[in-house]
Amino acid sequence: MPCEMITVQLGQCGNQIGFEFWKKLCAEHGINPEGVLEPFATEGVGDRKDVFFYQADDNHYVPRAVLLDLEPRVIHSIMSSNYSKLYNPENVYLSKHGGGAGNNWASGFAQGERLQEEVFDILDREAEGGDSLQGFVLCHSIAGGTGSGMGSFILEHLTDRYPKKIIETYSVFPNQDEISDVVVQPYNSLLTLKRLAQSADCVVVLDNTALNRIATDRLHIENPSFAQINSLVSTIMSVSTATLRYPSYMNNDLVGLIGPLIPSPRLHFLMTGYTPLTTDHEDANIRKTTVFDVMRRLLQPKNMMVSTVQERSTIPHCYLSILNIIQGDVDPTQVYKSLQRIRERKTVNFINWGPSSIQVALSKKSPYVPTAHRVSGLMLANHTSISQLFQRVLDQYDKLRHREAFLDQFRKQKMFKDDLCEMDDSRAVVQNLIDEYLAATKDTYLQWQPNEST
Amino acid sequence: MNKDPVPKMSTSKTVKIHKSEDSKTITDVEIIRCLLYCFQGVNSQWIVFNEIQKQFVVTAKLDFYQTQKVNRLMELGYLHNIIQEFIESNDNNKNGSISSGISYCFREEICVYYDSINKLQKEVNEAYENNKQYSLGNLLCWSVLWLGQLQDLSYAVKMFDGTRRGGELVSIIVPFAYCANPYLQQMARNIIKVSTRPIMTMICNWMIDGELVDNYDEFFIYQCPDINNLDMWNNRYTIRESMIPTFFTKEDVNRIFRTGRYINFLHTICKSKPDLTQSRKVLKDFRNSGNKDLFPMLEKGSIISDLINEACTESSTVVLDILKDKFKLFLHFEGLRRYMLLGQGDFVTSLLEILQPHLDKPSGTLGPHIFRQFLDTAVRSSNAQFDEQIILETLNVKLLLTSGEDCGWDIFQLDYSTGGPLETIFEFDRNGRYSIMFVFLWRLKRIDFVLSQMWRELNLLIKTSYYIVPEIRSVSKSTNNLVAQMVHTIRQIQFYVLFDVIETEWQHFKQAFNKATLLETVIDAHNQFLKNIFKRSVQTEETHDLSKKMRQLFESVLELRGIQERFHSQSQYEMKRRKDLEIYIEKHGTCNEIENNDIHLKEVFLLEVNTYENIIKEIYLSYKTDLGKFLKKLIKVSSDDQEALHSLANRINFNHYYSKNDQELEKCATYMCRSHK
Repeated sequence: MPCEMITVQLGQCGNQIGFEFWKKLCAEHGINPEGVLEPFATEGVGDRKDVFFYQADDNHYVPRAVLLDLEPRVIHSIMSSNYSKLYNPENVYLSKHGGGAGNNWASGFAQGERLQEEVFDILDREAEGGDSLQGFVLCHSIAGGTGSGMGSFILEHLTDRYPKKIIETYSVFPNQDEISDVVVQPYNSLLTLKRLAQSADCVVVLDNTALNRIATDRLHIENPSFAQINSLVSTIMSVSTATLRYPSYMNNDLVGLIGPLIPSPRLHFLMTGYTPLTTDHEDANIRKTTVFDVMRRLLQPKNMMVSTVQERSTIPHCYLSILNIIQGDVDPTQVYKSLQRIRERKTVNFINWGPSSIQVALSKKSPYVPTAHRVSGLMLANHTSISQLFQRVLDQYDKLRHREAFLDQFRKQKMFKDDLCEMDDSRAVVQNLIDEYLAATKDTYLQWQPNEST
Repeated sequence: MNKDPVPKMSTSKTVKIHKSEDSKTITDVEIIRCLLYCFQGVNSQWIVFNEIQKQFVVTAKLDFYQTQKVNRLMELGYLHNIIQEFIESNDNNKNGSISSGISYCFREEICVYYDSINKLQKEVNEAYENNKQYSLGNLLCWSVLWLGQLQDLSYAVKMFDGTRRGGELVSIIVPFAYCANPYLQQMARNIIKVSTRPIMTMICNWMIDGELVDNYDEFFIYQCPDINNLDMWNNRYTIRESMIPTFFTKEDVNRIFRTGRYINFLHTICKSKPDLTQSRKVLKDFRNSGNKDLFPMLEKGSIISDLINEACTESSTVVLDILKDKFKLFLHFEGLRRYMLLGQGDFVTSLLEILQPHLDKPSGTLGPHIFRQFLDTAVRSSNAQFDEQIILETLNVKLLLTSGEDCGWDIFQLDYSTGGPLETIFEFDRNGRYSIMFVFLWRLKRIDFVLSQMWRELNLLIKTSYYIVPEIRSVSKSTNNLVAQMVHTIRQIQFYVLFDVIETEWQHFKQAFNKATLLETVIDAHNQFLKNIFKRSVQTEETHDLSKKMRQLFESVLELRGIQERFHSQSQYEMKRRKDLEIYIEKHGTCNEIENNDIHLKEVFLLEVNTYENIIKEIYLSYKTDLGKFLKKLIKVSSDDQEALHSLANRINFNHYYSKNDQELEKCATYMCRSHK
């Protein structure tokens, strides 16, 4: 089957959002927590379950998911939930010493290295099981230890082992609004960012800052819980894969989906937006949504799930590309009309060194999951302002590094034993990434050369 | 009503009187007796029919007044003979059932005429027995009515021309039915009633059983010989306009034709004999009664017209229902959309993936059976596997005849031939429109697929050799930029063609289909659907230039692919060389020779890079020129009903990148924008 994807969920955060993602996929495809097709879903609705699931000999559906963690808490809670029978137990890997990575990237990375044989055994087995694997989806956080460190290790080695496969990540960026108990978060983030920049093909940025703000400001939840935030995340993940799972004329494979979003290979960090936003508690008394409403709202910063500041910036940030995945009751003729209205308003800034537009993918919606809205949309956008997020990581890193704070924990690991040039190197890579994004705001981008002093 | 003076003139001219030798004139009584025979076309003492001259001649001597009167009166004999000849040569179905009917009516008229002559004879005899005068003048008085009558009949005979048949004959009679002469009117109506009975029977046979029972080649529906079942619907039956009685409306004829064709189609093609519908039951009763004629149709809104109308509507519905239920009409429309119009996207991607290595080869090396296997693999590996069995059974591969020089891409096609009743009516396959559309869409998808591959390889190249082979950074970037531009254009064309055109038109068609109760509605909607997608995706004759320009864009993608593929493997090779060398040096150390060789190879590679960079520049320039031309043409061609084409230009040039440095494009885009508001 073309376009089979293996999901690798790493660390606490990765496993949590992965768990939510699978719950959502099960609901959308009518698969019960034990992997058995619900009676109402046996007919099928033109959905492709085998992008993310495979069928075991007894026909029940098994997620193509690999669950990895260095400490047991989250995986245990998954395996004691009613979804425990869903997963292939052989694909659930918990480090035997179970001590976690101590929120330390270097520890995570080193453990990844140590456990690589076991981990890649699982991945290889899973990859061989598919007829035609298109790529890997990695779910992790960039701030902790396991998702970031071990994730980095896996990222680096996936390309070597599977050079032709796409690597897409859903990477959670830490909440900047609250003080983290992970003091080395800036180091972790920076070191992970380097791998995301160099080894991933496409990174969907899930910014906890923005997600929390959306939950509080837009959904009026005072202290959003993990579950509430993760429900937002799982929506993003499920809609962004909807065209793969509900094939139609276009966007049925991952390259076809992300290729047009990434006109320049290194600029592969995507932000997302979703509308209309509601929670389970809120009644949908919003007026009738049209395609135009959805497309217009998706362009509003307040609906973006990445906390960048576009208005106050002196840099003319712009879109490299936009893909709106629109679900629901849509008349295709409305799409162009909406596009034309947006074009005439000239409120959207695009790059001027190449053609760009708002692409639209019309996708089916699961009939098994009732929604309050006639039309809903997810925006995947490649916008230069994402560099602000990296700049923030860099600034925090610089502050910490300047003080030489908390470096001991890193020096304990082999990689940093002799020197910290891995950090310097990562800093240069991230700086280059920021520079390239900024260069992309100018029409001289095609002549731009990275500063290769390192 | 007899506007044509020819018959009269010819008689008066041709009837000549021979002077008798003894120059003694005969009496009125004698000539009257002879005339009474002459009226019935019979020879007598003084008046005989000259077979050579085809006229009656008087052999006795007549005086001047007698001559005038007798000449006038002999016309009756002449006319009688014309009519009698027609009667005799057309009775007993000699020239078909309709002329036989007319012949029958004419005979009846002639019988009345004979009766009248008998009466006349009695009158004459009585007059003479009673020594009363009975002059030629009296006879003239009597003849006035019959002269008119027989002139009209013989006029009709002349019009029949001996060659006209069936409904044509009826059409000649029809005007008489409206004439002011009540006697003639009555006669004409009678003729119409009698002579249209066989037509009525033929119509009934046609509309009830779908059978043409036309033993004398008289019906206005005609079966063309040697038409096979697949052509049955469009070509087997035709309407012969000349054979249609003039009092039929176009709708009547059309409905009769269609009804019979439906029934015939049901019986012969669908092998299905549904129960008679209400109106066709009535028609059957008509046929069984044996004496129904078409006379009521002379009036507007006749019961027969109503019946025909109902039967047609009912039959159309019956056929549509059978096609829907038994022959899965809509399912096959879906099948065509999914496979010939590439609606089943994951299947298409899968098929492209499987076929690509094989289709890049020359076509001569490929056997058809292997493609069938590829097709099955693609079905199994996509959601197509869950498609209705009937659709999958219809789906096949078609390889075009090859000159041997074509590559596989040129000869490969999907084939969706339903055969049977659906093909008979809709000609999915033989019409070739789906096939043409497939070729276009398949090419579009292939180009998209090639671009995806290039995107993937470039990404990989940058990931893996960015640091090891830094020489390629700049050229990778320019290739990448070109690929990104191509991806953008092809994406927009795809979205436009697949969603704006096909999906939109499909939705319209689907709505029309769901509402339709008549087969014709579905046929028309389907034709409209195809017409619109052809027109709007610029695949018609008129937009040839535009589709050619689009193909040029496709070609430049393939050109780039050829170059890029070679460069990609060169880069991969160079990267591997450098990696291997590094490992070697680490293990064994280095020496001057190794270093110099490395420098040399790097220089060689750099030369390759430069050549490649120049080619990329060339392709980029020509691509940009082609695209500019394409955009301008799109805007120019788009008219009111083709506004959509303009939308494609706007999609491709959404951020004004292409018009930024092209004033002409910017100008015509702005101008067209305004003029469309």
